[in-house]
Amino acid sequence: MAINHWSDEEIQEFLDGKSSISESLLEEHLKICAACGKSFQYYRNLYSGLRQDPKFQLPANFTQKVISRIPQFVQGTARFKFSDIFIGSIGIAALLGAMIFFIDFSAVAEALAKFSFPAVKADLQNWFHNSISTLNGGVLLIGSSVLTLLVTATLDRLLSGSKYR
Amino acid sequence: MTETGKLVKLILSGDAQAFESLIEEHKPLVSHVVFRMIPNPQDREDISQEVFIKAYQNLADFRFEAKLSTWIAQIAYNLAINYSRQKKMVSLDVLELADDSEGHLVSENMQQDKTVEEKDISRLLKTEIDNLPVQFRVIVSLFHLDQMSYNEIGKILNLPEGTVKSYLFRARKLLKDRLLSKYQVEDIWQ
Repeated sequence: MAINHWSDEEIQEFLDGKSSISESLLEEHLKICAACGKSFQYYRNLYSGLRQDPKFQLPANFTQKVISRIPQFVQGTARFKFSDIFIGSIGIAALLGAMIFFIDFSAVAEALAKFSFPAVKADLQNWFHNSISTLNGGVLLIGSSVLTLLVTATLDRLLSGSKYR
Repeated sequence: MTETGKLVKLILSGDAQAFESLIEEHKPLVSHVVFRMIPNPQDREDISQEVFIKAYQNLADFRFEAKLSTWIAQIAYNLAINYSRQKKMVSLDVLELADDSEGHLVSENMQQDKTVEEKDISRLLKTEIDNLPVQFRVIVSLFHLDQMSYNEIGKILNLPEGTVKSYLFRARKLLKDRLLSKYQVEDIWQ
């Protein structure tokens, strides 16, 4: 009785899981057909080889090299951190300046001293008095400096930020 | 929003770390395409870098009609093909090359004096893949290493699904026949 051998295409389709032929039918055929059995085995080995990782290696610093070639990321990363720290510092300085300028610390010191530290009352009053006196002479200078820095920082953030956002 | 959508949005908002994770995730895929097409190691790295830079530059135009991996592989394939054309390294005439290669089997059959061990097979297979026409090489890699479908591979290579399937089958038959006829691997493969 003549045997219909499986073609290369049929074997590949089967191994790809895209064949309509059932596995039991295949097993039956392989029992009686050594030629197809060999062919199947060859393809199975080939498939196994093709699935092996070819170990194509890009350098370990490949990702960083790509990032460093994109100006938006290089500039963006550096300036973003710088301007954040800068604005944060200016904000804290402005807040402290406003507190010192508007709050009467001698009253606070007096209130604190009444409760538990009568011994240091005089020292605290003197310290705050001296601080305010020192600042009083340069309040305008300090205020205008802080404002200038704030405006500069805001402009920096707006101009550099638009490049990478 | 999908994970890919979130990643793309983060990258477009200037998140360098998000772009780093995109590179890390797609580096193997890009190397599978580029390394199969470009022989020179330095050119391989340069082109792989260009792939990701071009992907970044065009990310805003990515419309999610295909997978991000398919889109990136398409960029890789096109860049490598353009580079090869500039260097006159590659012919896309698959039919002519494939038929010619099959013809070579007869003369190479005369040199069956090599003893092959099992450990050599993967090296020989790599050599024979490199001898395939360029589209065959890429199709075999994308199908077996990246588990891509005929449809996805077709989008990357700009070929109909039927052609992808036909090239894949022919490539595997060529590889099997060459390994058997040139290196006598039957004993190991039994």
